[in-house]
Amino acid sequence: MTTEAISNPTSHAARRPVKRRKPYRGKLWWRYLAAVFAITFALLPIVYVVLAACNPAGTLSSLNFSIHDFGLDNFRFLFGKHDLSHEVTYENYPFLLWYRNSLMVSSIAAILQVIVGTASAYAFSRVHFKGRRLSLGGLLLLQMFPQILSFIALFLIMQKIGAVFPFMGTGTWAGLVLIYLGGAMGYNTYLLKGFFDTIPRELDEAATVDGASANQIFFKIILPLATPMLAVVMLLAFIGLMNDFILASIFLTKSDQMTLAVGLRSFISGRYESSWGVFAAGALLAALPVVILFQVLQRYIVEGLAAGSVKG
Amino acid sequence: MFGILARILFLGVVDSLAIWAGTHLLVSHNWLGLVWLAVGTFAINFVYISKRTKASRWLLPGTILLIIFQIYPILFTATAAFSNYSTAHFVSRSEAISNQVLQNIQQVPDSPQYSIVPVHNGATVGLVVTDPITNKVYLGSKAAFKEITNPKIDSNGIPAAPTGWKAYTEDELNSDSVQTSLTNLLVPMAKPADTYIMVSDLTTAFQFSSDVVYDAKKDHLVRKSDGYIFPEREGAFIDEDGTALDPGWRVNVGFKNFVSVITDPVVRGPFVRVLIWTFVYAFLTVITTFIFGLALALLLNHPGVKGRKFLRSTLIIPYAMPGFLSLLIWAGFLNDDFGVINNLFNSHIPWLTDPFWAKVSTVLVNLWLGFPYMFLICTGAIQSIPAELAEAAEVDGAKPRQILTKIKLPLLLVTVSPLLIGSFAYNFNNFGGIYLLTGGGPPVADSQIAGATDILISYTYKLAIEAGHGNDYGLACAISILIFFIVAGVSTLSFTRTRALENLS
Repeated sequence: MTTEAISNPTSHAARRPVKRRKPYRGKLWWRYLAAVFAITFALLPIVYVVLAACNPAGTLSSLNFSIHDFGLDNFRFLFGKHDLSHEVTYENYPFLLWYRNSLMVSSIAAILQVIVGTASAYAFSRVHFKGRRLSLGGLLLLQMFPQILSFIALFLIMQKIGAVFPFMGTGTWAGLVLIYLGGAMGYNTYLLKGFFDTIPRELDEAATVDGASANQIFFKIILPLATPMLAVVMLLAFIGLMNDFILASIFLTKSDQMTLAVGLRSFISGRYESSWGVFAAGALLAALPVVILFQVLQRYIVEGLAAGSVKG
Repeated sequence: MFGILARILFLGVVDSLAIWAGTHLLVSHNWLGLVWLAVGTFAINFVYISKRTKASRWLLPGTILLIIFQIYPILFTATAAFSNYSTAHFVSRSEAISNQVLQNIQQVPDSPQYSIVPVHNGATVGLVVTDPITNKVYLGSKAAFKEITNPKIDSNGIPAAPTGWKAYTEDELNSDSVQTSLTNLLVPMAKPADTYIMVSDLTTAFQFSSDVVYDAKKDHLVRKSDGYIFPEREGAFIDEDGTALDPGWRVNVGFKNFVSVITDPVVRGPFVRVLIWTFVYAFLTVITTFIFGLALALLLNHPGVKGRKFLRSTLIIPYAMPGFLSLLIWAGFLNDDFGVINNLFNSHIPWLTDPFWAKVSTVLVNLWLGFPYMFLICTGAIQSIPAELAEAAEVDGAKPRQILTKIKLPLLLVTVSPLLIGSFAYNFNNFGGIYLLTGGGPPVADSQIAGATDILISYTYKLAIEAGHGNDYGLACAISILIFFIVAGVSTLSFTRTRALENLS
């Protein structure tokens, strides 16, 4: 299509002498108008969350925010310094413990996912075996199966595992890590395989000539070259896991094992009352590491997005 | 050298875990589990000891995890789709039989009072029973009732647990799980037939018998008082007036679940409505986010616009926020009575309670969540278009608008269309986007389960676990298989189409 548009220009236009025009500045204002509109649309909700978080009687309707309402009691509650009522106490809602659980579950699962995924991706990229294309296609197809109903089967599996190894059965965060590991052979493997494919095979071949084994090629050539990519895939996996709500909410029921996603929800569907102010404060704190990671890794995330990874 | 050490360490850990798990399976007589464990452990050892394995040593860990946590659940779903698995049919047949027996059980009028000692062997509970008349001591479990020859009896007259069994301690007896398993324990006595010993408190038990008994030889359930034999239909016993007795058990029903999606008006009505809305929702979400993101990318990706980096960092924020948090926050914003949105615009729009407005809400909120993604990928795609192309066209006299519509947009579409398909497939199953925002509501008259904004995946989820009067897990599994075929079909089709497009250009 494009070549056509270039090689068949309208005849009189081709004859016209061409002046190099400067990008004109006259009509820039409406571009800025669009920018202002987009930023308002993007940030207004977040401004309201901040306002609600900084208001001890916070609701998501407080329009007439005045400086008198300002207070950090919601945050102090989350850090265990201030009880909101005799039922809404830190013991019932151990926010810092959830935070620790979340960071632990997500980072351990992300690291293990990338280790397992890297090994598989290496095989798919470098080792010739029968049915390689087929199994890669099958892997992609499997990802399209709606996993939402698999929790009953997962429950049965986790009960069996929990009967043998109680520390990683149902309801424990270690068990949740195990479930997350089930997703190690998925899109990440596919992404990493694509990246390994871009590393020239001549490197391997030269190394093989010099007598290197498959292990040595993997650890001494491929891995060092792929480290930045691995870090990005790992951080993307970490972000995705921090954001998981559904699996975590099905498997974690005890307050001290909960992750942020599950725990925070109990503020608004809580046993006692919904505390939107505390929820807003907690949401801000929970979103903080992810938003910062996004900002720092912007460039890589955009590349990852272009390669086809979707935030879960 | 390091490699060998690492391998020995790894296999050592795997094998010791396997032995630990194996002893547990052995004690609980789980032979099938034991076989699988042995096969798995052998495979791991073979792959990492043999020198001839190549691909498998890289793929094995991922494959094992894949089989346990993805393939097995999918197979489970697939088999359940052909069964009547539901609240009314969730036990095994033998459990349904003992349930019927238990429902009709009564204490035998002249039963002796047995003294008992609750015991266990690690896997099952049992009772050491002393007959008050003969003073003989028996070991009873749900499988058998056997006399203990030469029992050891202490000075208080309490018999000790036989070898292999242990008496429960005081603390263990206080736990709920032990008490439930004791009260549910039926010890069948050899004589008189069809009589059971049941615990009445933690030290005494009585003889019980049931009017409904199971005839093992003829494999049917029969009522002793009038000889009525319970017929069986689709995994349930049927009584005289034709009602199925609860609980039933899980049986294979073939394609019944799939057929009822097509033929049964009660299922088909909401299914078709939900299916249409699922397509509309996924389509609208992709289109709105794409158009908004593309427009922003085109407008802001102009050399004259200052602060483009800042704009990008700011606009990425909605996408960087954890999705479930944003959705819950929006659910609060859109609240009809005290939500921010209605307050801000001084409106009274029933955002979440009116079927039409609830649909608008789901698309709007998804626009907020998703437009930064489209903005980012469109920006990337525009920047990757070589500047020479536009310059050459300009040299040839193309107007800016022509450059946009004839060069930039077609090239951009080739780059982003696989991502648009991915986005469609993602939103087709965007459970959180619906469930956390509207919960699928508001309710619609034609179905007690499917609400106005329910998409297939949230409808299926509700069918499986939330339905008020009995969860139809079999039907839910059947629908999720249909979802799989729809998504896989649409994706494959459009991927091959776009690949064809790419080849054309």
